[in-house]
Amino acid sequence: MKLGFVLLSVSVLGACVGHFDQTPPVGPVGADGVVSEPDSPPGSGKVDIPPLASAAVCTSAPSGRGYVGMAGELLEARRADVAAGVDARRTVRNYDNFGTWQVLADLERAIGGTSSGDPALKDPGVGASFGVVPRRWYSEGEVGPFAVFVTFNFAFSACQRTIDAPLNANKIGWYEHTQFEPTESRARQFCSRTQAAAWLRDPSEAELGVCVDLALNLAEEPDFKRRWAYVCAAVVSSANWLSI
Amino acid sequence: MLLTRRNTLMAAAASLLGPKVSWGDGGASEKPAVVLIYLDGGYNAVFSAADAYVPQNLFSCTASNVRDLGNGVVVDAATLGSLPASVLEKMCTVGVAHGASGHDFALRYAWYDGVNSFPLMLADALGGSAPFRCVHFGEGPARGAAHRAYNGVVMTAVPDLSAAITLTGPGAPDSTGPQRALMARSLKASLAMGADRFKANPNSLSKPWEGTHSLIGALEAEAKTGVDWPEISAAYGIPVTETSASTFKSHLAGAEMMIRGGSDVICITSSRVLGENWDTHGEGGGVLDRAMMSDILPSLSVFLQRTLAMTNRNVVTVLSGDFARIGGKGTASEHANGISASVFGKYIKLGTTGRFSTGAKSSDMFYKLPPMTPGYRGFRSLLTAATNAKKHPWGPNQHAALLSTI
Repeated sequence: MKLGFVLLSVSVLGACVGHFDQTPPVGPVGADGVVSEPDSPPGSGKVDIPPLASAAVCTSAPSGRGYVGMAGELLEARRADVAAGVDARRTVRNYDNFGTWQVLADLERAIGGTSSGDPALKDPGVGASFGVVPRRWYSEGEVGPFAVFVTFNFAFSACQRTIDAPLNANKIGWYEHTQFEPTESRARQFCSRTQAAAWLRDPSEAELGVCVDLALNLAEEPDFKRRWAYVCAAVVSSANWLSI
Repeated sequence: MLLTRRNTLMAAAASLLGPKVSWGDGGASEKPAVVLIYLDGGYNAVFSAADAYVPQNLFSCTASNVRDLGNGVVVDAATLGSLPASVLEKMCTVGVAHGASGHDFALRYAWYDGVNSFPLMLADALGGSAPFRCVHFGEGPARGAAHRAYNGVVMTAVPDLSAAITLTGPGAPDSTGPQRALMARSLKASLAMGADRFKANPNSLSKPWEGTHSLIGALEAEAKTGVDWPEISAAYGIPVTETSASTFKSHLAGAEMMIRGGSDVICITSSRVLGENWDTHGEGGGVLDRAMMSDILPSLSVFLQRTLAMTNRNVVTVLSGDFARIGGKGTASEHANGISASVFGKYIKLGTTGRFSTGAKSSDMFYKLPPMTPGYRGFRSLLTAATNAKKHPWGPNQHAALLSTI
């Protein structure tokens, strides 16, 4: 309900914060619990309106204000209720840069890869599968199941190549571990380096734990290097890499 | 609201990852599917109820270039009238008095039931268990407008067929690639790693959230034996390596693949044919409409013949658009306020509720369906009845004369 109200509060009055799980009622739109006629200052209102529950929480600002339409309706009543900071992330949008799919090229960087000459980078089918390229520049792409599938498959092969022939700069403390069976210690080091490289931040302990657990629970795969490839691909198939 | 949204997503995930219930638990032996082919801009009634145009020769309709199929169904002879008898006897014309003569409202009414996505509601009503319950080829329904998850059913774009071929077919993508079960396990870890980000972005990241769950479901599902892309592509005259899903023909081939893979609802929007769109203003002679239909008809004919012949599927195909066209003289091809849609299906009876009048006076060029013709609710009630759906959210069939006993 009230995205505009929230934005107004943030931009004009400041000091509003949002919490996704919170839906507390905030104070009345006007300081006195009523809303004014349009374009008149808050507090001189004539129309009673109920308090508007919102996901936004204002910590120091007194309140925003609402507006009433010609039929007496609350103009802010049907706005999306989104707290500040929520839904700020968007999925990455693939695009063709002189014949090279940029998402896949960036994936190579994310894993410290060595396969810049990979023909898949220029494969129209692979690129198209990544997501529906929007008709308009301002429209968003759609990263659905097929995009995730393509991402994982491409990442798996790119990770395998990197594991087989890592760059010297990426061996110590990172890909050196992939030359051995996964252990908890090796998994922690490999996961933390891969996650940090891909996500451009250090992983939380929970994120690291999930990655380590995966590395230690792929025993059906007899080739331990392929186990590491699953782990590597999982890191770049997460929302932490697929969204910005 | 946010919590509701998140709960919806969680419900989607739960349903996708939960125990699979095969269709047929309710006693039916044919898995139902509905294919919604939408001609963006309009569906000229010369293809579905041409008799109304004949007296005034509107859109160049004459007694000699239309074909009376019986039971009141009169179609353009050179296009829909040229479909095989096995298809035509399973076709009906359905009147939809939706009341919108502008594109925005027409699209809205066609693809939504109130705030809910119609194809997602329909997929929910059909009650399948495939990983990809509702998919779309080409531009998203209603020109890419949002279709929010409905009761756990999500809309999935199929931008290219290669991934779909792998996911709906048997076995691993290839011997060197990731194995299905281990890929599914890894993707669960991906979801867990991204949990905080998904939680903080429940709407903007809903597609990868829903999509990854759908993907995991597909990877964990039993391999389908009826999906044979080489055979399907050959039937439509598509090279087996051509998987771009960029043409109407490839959309239909992909639709067949998804039907065989268990999808409930497949949406195909035809935006441009021969470089033109279906909003055929300036074409009162109906030449462009017929040329565009002639272009898509061969692949449509293949699709209809093959889907109607499926023994383990009950496929209902809808051919419609924003609205019928009015005018039909000179350059006049304008917007009607309803549509005479074509519906094909195993249990569809040749007949029509979509005959219309062009007006009381001989010079009138209106589009007037009979007064009691229902709108989209009635149209949708026919679809759930024709597919023997598990739910009937639009009530009992309001076009009972068009359906034989299932």
